[in-house]
Amino acid sequence: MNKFIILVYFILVTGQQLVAQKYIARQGRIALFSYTPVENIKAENNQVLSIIDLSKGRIAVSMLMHAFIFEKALMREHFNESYVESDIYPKATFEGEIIDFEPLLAGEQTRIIKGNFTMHGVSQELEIKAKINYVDDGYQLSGNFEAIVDDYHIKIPPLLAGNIAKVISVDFKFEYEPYQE
Amino acid sequence: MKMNKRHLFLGVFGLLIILILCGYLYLNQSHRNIKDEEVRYTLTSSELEESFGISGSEMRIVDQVIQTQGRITALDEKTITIDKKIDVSFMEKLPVGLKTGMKATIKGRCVGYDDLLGMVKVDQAILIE
Repeated sequence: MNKFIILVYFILVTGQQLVAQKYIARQGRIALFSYTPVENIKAENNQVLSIIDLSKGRIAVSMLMHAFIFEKALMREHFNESYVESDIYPKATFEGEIIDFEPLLAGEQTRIIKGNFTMHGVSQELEIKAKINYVDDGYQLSGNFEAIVDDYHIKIPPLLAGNIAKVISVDFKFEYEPYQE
Repeated sequence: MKMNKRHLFLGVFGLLIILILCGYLYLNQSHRNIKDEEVRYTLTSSELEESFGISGSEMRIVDQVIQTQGRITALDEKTITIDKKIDVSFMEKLPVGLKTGMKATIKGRCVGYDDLLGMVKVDQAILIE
């Protein structure tokens, strides 16, 4: 009988550990900034989805372009219709690997995430520095990188060239919790 | 002659003011108010999900105001999941009494389909029932 209880306990404990192999962030935040002498533009998406697979050290991010919120309605219209063409390319994705990720390391670790970022139908290989914080069986991941508008074949009309920066600063922040499929 | 010049000046000045005003209004158009917009499509959660498999229908439904209903399968402060298919984020905090398993009818803007989890996303939603 005792052996049976130990066996059940063992299965339960190891079972739980197996379940928590994937972590999910459903309301990740991505903010875009464009700084020019003419105007500063900021856009925010608070519905970015991301999954980390601990067993492979891999990370996937997926965001819908229509979910970006702008200060002005006209900026949003230009962004969706003319620049990223959200009807044709509705989402941007990132798939990559967290190099030397130590999932059980308590506190903060700074790691390089290497992978492919796809936006406007164009993929670019990126290396992004990110801070990862392990707290209460969850991870916080944050950082920023720069995206060159030209790299993603996004065309800005000459008339507005002064209003939109050639390099967009991208901030990201995710809070992950264990994911049960 | 003097009078004419004055008229011309006033005319040009007036025109300039109108142009500036038009420009200002164009640049500062107000945001959509999903809450007050009329519902364009009323669908079940399954119909909503399936509309993303049919080519062409996706273009019609994205960025439109939709109404849908189903059972709540997950929820937190400002979001609910309906029938494990539709991820809805609300503009305001949800009422306290709401629990998983309850039926809900919502109105919101369809943002698109996220194939990472296989879910349709709806934002700026309000709870109807």
